[in-house]
Amino acid sequence: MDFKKFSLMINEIKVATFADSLAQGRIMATRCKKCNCEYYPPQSDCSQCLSQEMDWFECPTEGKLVSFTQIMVLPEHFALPELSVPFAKATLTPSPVGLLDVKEGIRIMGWIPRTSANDLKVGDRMKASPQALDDGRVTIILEMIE
Amino acid sequence: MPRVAVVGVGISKFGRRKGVSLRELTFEAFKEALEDAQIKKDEIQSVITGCASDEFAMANQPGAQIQEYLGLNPKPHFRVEAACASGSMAVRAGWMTIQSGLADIVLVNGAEKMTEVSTPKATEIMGKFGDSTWEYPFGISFPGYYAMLASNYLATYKESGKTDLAKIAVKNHYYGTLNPKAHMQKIVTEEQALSGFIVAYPLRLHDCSLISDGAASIVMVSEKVAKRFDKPIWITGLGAGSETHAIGRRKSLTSLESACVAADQAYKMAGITPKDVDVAVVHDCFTIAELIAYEDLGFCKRGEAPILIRNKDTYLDGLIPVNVDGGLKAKGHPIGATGVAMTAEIVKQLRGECGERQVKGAKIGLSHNVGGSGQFTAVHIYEA
Repeated sequence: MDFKKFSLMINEIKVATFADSLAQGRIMATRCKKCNCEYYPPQSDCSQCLSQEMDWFECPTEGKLVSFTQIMVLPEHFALPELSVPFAKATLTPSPVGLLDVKEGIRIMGWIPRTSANDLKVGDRMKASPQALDDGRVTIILEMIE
Repeated sequence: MPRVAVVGVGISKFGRRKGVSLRELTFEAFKEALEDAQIKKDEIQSVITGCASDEFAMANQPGAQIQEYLGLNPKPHFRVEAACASGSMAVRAGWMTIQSGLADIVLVNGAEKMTEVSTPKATEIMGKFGDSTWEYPFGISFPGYYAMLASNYLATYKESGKTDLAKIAVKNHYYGTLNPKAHMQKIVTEEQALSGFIVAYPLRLHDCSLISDGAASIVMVSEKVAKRFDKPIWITGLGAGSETHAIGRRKSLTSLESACVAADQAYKMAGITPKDVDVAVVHDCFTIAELIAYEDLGFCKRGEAPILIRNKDTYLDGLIPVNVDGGLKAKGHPIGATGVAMTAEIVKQLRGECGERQVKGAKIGLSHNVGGSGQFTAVHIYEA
């Protein structure tokens, strides 16, 4: 799969298989073979000890919400095309976005669908999962753990 | 070490400058700075321009357009980019140019033309100042990053609230009315600030600085040359720091580490403490950013910034007046121009030229300029 299906813009990156793993239902991170430093988002090089020997591992996915927002004024990239129906008005309510703390040093960003920022609070227990979208893109969502 | 002085400052009118281009905006600031310094353009030996975005400029060498238009070819010139801290980093580069001995008289410009693109496009350009590979895919806008800091701050310090954010907007809009160069000259009440539409939860319209056009220029000189000028203002401390690009990797979401290290360096270099600062301009791109700045700069303890604003300690007659020029909030935030305009404002304060917004007897000033959501921070300290 093209990495661009996740990143929207760049396609060329050594850790491009991250997007394939998402499509297969796994959120992957990397760990330095030399100093054990862990990276999410994944890196092919260790910024700490400068080793280039890295292992992939599957991220834990459950944790606490560290922070969140709900962006009502979105970048143009995410805007809906204007409706051509006379008199019609479409109102878009974007999903909140959050950062989930799943383990020391690893925070997963994801959309929080079917909810509103008013219903969220820092510290909420949530689970991150990959999500395939209708247009072939892949992303990550965060959902409340019942 | 010999010192470096600022001897001339100029700021264009900030705002939605319809019908005015990037190079023309810079010309306005440049001419004012030369007249203020009372020097001729040919005396300038080297030039540095802070400009943050090629996308806003719709050009790849916006600095070169400016240099030619100011009639400064073939003098040495380069551009500095550090997102919204481009201006202060350009001032830092000016200081370095002089201290290295390469030049005695340096012109530093900051400029940005942001309103020619649509608001959604501007939101996209600003959003891509964040990690465009790993975080932009989640629709993160620039307000979105600071909203994440706000959500975490408000949850961490339970006694803080959205009304504290609104109080920052009220203060800065009030002072914007005393600054003829400010983008917006309109009082905003706490009720209005608390009921504006949500840009990025929990930040509302009046929590956000303005997308603006503007430019600022300053003339910096070596100590040797400064003798011939009437009112040199000395840069006595400089500090700078950096921070992770990805917000998911931050150690703290209630502070900017880059600002803490920059402040620490600047205070040490100037040999002062936060208590010695008479007037400050801080990077209030969002109201939460001003609260965090109070703490990062040591104006109060962690978690106590809300008390500072509730007590009006950062008003003109308070303990430490902050952003009495309206801040980015009301003055506007043409990103590349902001840092240079901050220096210009502090220079005027220390010369006692700020009229209604003058901090009486100000001797020591500070500017705090943040790039991105903390990826770059520069703190400068100035003395009369």
